[in-house]
Amino acid sequence: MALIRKHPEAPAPAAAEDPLVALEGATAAERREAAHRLAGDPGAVGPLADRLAREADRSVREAILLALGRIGTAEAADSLFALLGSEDVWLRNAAIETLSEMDAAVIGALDRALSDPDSDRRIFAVNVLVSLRHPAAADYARRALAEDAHVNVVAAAIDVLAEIGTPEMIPEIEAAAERFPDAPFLRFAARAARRRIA
Amino acid sequence: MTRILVVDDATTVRMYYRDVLEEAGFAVEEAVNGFEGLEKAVAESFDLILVDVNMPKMDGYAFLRQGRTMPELQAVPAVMISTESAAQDRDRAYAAGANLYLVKPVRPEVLTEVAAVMAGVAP
Repeated sequence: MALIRKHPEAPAPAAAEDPLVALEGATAAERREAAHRLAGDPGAVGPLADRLAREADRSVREAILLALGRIGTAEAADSLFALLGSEDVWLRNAAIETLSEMDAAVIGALDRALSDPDSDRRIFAVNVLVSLRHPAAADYARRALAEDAHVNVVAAAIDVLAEIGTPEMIPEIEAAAERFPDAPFLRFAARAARRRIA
Repeated sequence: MTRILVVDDATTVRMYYRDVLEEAGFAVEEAVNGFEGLEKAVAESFDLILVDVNMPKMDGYAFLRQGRTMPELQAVPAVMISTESAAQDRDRAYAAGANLYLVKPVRPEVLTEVAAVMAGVAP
């Protein structure tokens, strides 16, 4: 007698016993469920990040990102910062959104990301700051403002400080714009930041 | 009046484009991500779209790919403006449906000239 499988995506019972095995399962439902189950396991960061790099299914990717965000350790933050160099724009933006909600865990990784030789990665790292609920967020933006040599990183930092900065930071913003006399956009951004902060 | 839709998640960038383009006589509408951009672009008529690459919810490539399948947006010129300057970024923009690719930051005179040419109102 033939067995009729009612739901083609139903997880296989054997794989479901071990979420690390199920994470490599044949169906998206199996892998998605495994990611949800691993969300509380700090030891699963490596396998989750490894699967994310190869995963094609959007719902599984979202479940893995959610799991990494919930694990919330420095190692999880590092694995998400590594995605800022991805060619996959969706993955990159999803990583930024997840990092923005991780609070203190991202601080150590931010130090490294803001020193990355790739200016685009530094811009993405600055973009994490705007939603980061951490008292040091503005200080990291100020560091980029004062030290970064790339006009677009400084522009991103000004945009962040326009959102989360305070009036005493306005002179630093204006000084940063003056470092790039050939960039009218930065002069505009500094004026706009002054209005928005005030 | 020539109408331009600016799709960018950075508030300062949207303010800058609006400031420069309105000064040059264009009317500007804003959207903060690709989803909102598609909604506005379908609901209203625009002569030109300026779109960023990296945005939450829907990025610029996805915006262009989906927009180009919609009758309302198939013929609207689109300029992708990004911080990324590598050749593959340009190629990806054109493959998604951009008519021109510019690297940030864009000088005011370049922005107005590009807008006039792309929107078909250059003297």
